Amino acid sequence: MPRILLVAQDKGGSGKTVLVRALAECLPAARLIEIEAGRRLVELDDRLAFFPVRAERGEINRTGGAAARAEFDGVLNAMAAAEGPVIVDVGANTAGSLLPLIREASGRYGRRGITFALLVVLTSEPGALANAPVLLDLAAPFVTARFVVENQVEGPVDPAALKALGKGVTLTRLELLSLDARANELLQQGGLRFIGEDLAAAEDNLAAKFGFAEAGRIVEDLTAFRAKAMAAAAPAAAWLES
Amino acid sequence: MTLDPKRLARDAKRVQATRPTAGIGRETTGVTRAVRDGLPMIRQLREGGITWAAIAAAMAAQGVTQGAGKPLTASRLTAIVGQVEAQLRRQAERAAARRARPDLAAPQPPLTGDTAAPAPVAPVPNTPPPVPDRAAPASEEAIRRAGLDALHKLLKKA
Repeated sequence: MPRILLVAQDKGGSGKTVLVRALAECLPAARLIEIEAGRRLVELDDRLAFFPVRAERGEINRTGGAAARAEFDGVLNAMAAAEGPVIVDVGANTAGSLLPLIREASGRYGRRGITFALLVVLTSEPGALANAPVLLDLAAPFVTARFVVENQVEGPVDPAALKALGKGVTLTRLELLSLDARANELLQQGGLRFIGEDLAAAEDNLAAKFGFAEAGRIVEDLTAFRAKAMAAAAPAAAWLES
Repeated sequence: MTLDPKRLARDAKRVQATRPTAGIGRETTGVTRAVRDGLPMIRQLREGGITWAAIAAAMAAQGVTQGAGKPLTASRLTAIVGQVEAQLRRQAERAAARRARPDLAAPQPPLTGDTAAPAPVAPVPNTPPPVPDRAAPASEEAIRRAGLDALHKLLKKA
């Protein structure tokens, strides 16, 4: 039965794409849908369908608003065609518009045997704090599971805010990990995929370029970061796989 | 030593024929040329839902390899497609900027009669043309693909 996990947070810079990459590492067979202004998950191209948003203002004006109504048609169609686990990276400022459309069509998706879950990434940034409960409420009528990952990239989230998310939400944490500067640079370039696939075998190359000691730090830091991100995504990955 | 002029002409034409026609001096690999030639079909296949992995495998079956005879991978293919598209985009932007320059003459229609006509002369602008202070910015995707390609080169076995 196809399962679709929507990964959302309307505040940008929350680490949503990191969690999507971690989910992709947990489930190598899962397909991905990316809804963004520009492609980010370029290292996952062979598993990915990309849908640019949002509709351009000129096109909306020219079509009398029809372009705005139809801007998610491609995404909704792609989800309807799901055959296995699908991870959807819902870009910033998009979930608030997309979730109601999925809710409206949830009965039709259900007849196709498709079930949904929502993963919201939460940081201590006020915009992210305010948006998380909104998205959880929007999705509650049509999802079978809701997950929140507390990303401590901007510090721990107020425990009262976490408690206010209510019952029925599975909470995990991605602790802040200080990476070697070069490791962080490679992470930005390649995401998580190369860490699992290529990094260990490339240690000699890294040592030749950056020196034995720094190469060791790079491998150690990136391996640890990937493992932590995958651990934070694990409950949602388990739902997708079940 | 004396040169055989006929052989020189023949060999030079043969070498020229094997070079790319777009005047791209830095293109060195067969993969890049194959991607450039096949880009419209690659895009058509992608729009039809064919995965990058399937396209890479199909290209590898036609002898498109990377490194020392290794089959073309999906990630390598997408990196090269990104590079080629960025290059085409830059060429189009440069051509558009050139067309907009007021100091260059517009292309003249071909002459049909025998009457000799003066060579086209560019009009002299009243004010100096604006000089762009920087190149057109690359897209986010092009930057990300270039970064991924650099990473793959770094990780590649010597």
